[in-house]
Amino acid sequence: MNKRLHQMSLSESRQLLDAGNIRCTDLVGAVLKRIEKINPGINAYITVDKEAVYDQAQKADRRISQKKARPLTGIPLAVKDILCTRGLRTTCASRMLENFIPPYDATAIEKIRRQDAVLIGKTNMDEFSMGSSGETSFFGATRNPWDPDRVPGGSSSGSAAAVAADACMAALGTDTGGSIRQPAAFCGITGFKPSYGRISRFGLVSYASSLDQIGTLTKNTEDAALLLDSLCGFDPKDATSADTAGPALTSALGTDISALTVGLPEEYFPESLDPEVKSALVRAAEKIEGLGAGVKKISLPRTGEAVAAYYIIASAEAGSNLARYDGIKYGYQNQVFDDLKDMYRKSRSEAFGKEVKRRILLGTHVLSAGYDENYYRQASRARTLIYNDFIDAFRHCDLILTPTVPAPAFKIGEKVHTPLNMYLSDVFTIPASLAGLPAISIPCGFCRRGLPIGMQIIGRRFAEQKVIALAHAYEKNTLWHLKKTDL
Amino acid sequence: MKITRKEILHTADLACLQLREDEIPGILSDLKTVLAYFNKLQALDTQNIPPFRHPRDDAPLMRKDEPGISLSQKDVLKNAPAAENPFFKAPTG
Repeated sequence: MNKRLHQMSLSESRQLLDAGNIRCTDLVGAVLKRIEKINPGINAYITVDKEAVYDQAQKADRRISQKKARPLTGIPLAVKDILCTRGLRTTCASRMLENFIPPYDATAIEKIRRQDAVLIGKTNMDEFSMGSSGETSFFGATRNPWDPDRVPGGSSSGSAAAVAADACMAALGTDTGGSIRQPAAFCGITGFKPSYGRISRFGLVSYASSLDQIGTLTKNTEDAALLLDSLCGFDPKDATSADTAGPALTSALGTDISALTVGLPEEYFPESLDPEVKSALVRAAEKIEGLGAGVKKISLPRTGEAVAAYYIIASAEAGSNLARYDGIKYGYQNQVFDDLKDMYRKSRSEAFGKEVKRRILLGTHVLSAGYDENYYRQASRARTLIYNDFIDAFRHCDLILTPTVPAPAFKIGEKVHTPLNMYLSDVFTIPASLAGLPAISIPCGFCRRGLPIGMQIIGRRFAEQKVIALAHAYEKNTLWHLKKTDL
Repeated sequence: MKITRKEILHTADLACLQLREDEIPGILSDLKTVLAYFNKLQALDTQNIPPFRHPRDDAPLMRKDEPGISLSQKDVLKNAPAAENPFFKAPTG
């Protein structure tokens, strides 16, 4: 094998660890060295837990030598800095939580710790997940490993960049309107947002609770299935988590896809679609047909209303969720104030970044008296229509294939000053979020500039199996996911 | 439905945010653009369409009320900018 240790996928590392060919301490050493090399340029990590990782690695090595390894034992994983990690700073990339050290673990973190995975560090992100480019972080923008002048996408910017740059084996992210799939597409990796409810949100710092979902950023689909199998399941601490324990997602790997019908929604192939993205998708659809699946045209007529509906609903929920930052129980507190209300105002105004304030204002406005009917309630009705569109479409197909993003990664600074243009870059990922459906982004080509192109596969609610089966079959017959950056 | 300077200041007050004089024009112009885009939803026929409630509408809303172990007071107070055991300390007024 010509690959260096840090370039291994999760499943390759698993095999080498279990066979006793490498030790977890070696793997962790290789990854830390890689982080040291790339992080000054890419800014993928906010915190690297150098002190604790070798203890975790030694513990994992002991467990592996006792033949008690679980799928994630000894695997160096990165975690988006919005998931609470006990004793390890969790900032949400905000000045507000710059020094916040959670007294508890998120359920997803508890699950990976129980398997003795190595939590290598916390990754950079758009502040409180509000952004599509990684540029709104208080800790500075993350850069795209394929071209440092371009954005890695967001909001799980650091998780995507770290996986693409081989600075971890795999990473956890969160997706509210595309925050896993869009950066995965921009960075040429695999990003999976499972159905809403699949993974407990306990310990995930809330942005828009009816949309937020934890998911994975990995080097291939097999890794996504492995990691997700360790995260899914009902949690009494999250009433919206699902107890629909189906068969393991890994059991869908390598299954026959010839009985599947894949729908191509015409609304996702508009005139304005980047021609290179379009031709990559056309070739991908042909490939899938060649693998035996049926491909047909379908329609999702209310796609054009999704961005407006999403930003109204998400901002409304954000305005409400972020009311908790009062500078008293935790978080930043201004020290020079006249009275209680003045302290609230000053603390929040000084510690929230521009985009966060913009969304709080938007959210408060669309819910305020006189406006809620035209904005929030109308957006909720639009959400019903968008959901119904998917129900209708799935009468004609099992899976839906679309571009993940209308164009490859844009330049740093290109959209950050024009919020609406930034919001519109989520146009293809938002509808599945509004409907709570599982969706994956996998690499399906590169443009002439050498930037990755991603395709999205959307499934019926809780039909992750089929999504994995198709993504894996495509990957087994293409080489896009194996391309590495020059970093 | 155009947002005015007066409204934005009122909204900021509701959200406990203080806007600097020099940032108001930028925020106002951004919000105007975004709200104008939101208005496209007005053209959507939603008569007899119920609002979307929640993606886990089928989830049980109630659970048994069973006491469990919670965080210690010490742990809970650890992140407070000001605390006087066993209380959070907040300014008066």
